[in-house]
Amino acid sequence: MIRLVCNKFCSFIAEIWSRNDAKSTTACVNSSLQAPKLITSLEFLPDEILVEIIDYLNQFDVLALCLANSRFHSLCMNKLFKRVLFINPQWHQILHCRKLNTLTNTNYTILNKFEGIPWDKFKFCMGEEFDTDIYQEGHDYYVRIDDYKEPIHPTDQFNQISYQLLWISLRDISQAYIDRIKNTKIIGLFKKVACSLVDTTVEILDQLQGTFVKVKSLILDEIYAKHKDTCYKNR
Amino acid sequence: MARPKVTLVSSDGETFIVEQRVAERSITIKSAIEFAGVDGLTADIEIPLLIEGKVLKKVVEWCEHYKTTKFPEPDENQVDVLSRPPVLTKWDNKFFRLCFEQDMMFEIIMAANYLNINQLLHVGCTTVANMMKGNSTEQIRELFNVPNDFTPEEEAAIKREDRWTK
Repeated sequence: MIRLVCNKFCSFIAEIWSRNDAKSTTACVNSSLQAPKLITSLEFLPDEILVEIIDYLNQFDVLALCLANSRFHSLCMNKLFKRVLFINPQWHQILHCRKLNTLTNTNYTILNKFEGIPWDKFKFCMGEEFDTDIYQEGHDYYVRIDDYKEPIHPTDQFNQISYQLLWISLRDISQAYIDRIKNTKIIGLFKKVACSLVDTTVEILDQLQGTFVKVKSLILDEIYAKHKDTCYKNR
Repeated sequence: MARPKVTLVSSDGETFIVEQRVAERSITIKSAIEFAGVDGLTADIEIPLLIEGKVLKKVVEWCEHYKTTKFPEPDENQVDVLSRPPVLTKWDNKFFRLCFEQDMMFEIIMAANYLNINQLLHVGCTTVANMMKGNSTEQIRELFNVPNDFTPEEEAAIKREDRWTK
């Protein structure tokens, strides 16, 4: 989009030059063209620029911006979903699927991965629509992929995940990393987990320990390579 | 023989006479000059731009400051979500702080987009992102003059979801 604007301008300039004496190299502006009014609100920036700004935010700030108004909500959700898209099926397998109503999508399917999360917590996350058939109250029970017969790959519905579910997923998986990293070789662990959550997690960990920045740069290529396969093969 | 100059003309008629290398910080202007076949200018050239004078002045100031700096080429293969924002210099911070105080921050970013000055665009976006960091939704709205267009029902629904972020 950015390039399109520029190309248009180049064409515009070129057209002006072609209509003028090349020797004078002085271009005239069509008087009907007016500069836009002064922009005083972030909201007036075009989507492609806002997306770039969002790219530079960490997950927490994206979530804050998400609630500013409906347009930012939409842009931020797309950003969050792109990150979720990279979830590695080999890690905390995809687990849940249900329908909800939200502001932007009505009656959509939510998928997420909650393997290893206590049922009590899981039920609380799911709210009233939770499928009680597979809920075993009172047991020290953790979510398992086997409880679902037909889990759907998240890439099929990647743009339709509730961000509250996304958030808890990120938070728990991030915590899982933090806990495990205390006793595990960092690079070895991260290489096993080829998902965008690494990106998010590393952002969090960046704030805890500067060393993770180096770790991140070592595994970017591998993450991306795996992500590409993971995202599209099940579409 | 003195090198020819490039005259940039703002939408409100203000003119800025700059060296060719300063003007060519803008890929758009550079392409336009090359397209018009006046590379290695033999005569002064005038280029009209759809940018207000006070905004163009700041853009020219930035281009003048970085006229000899070589910026890294963008990596086409880089994964966007894994990219890192550019590092802001003290000069950049001061530059954009002044722009923000003068209500021109977004204008500069728009102008950088229009003129295809990638580094200025990236630095501007990074500055906005840095200003957002650590702020609540309400603070972001206030800081950047973002109207809340949610209905009370919608806002209540969003806040119900928002509890998970606390």
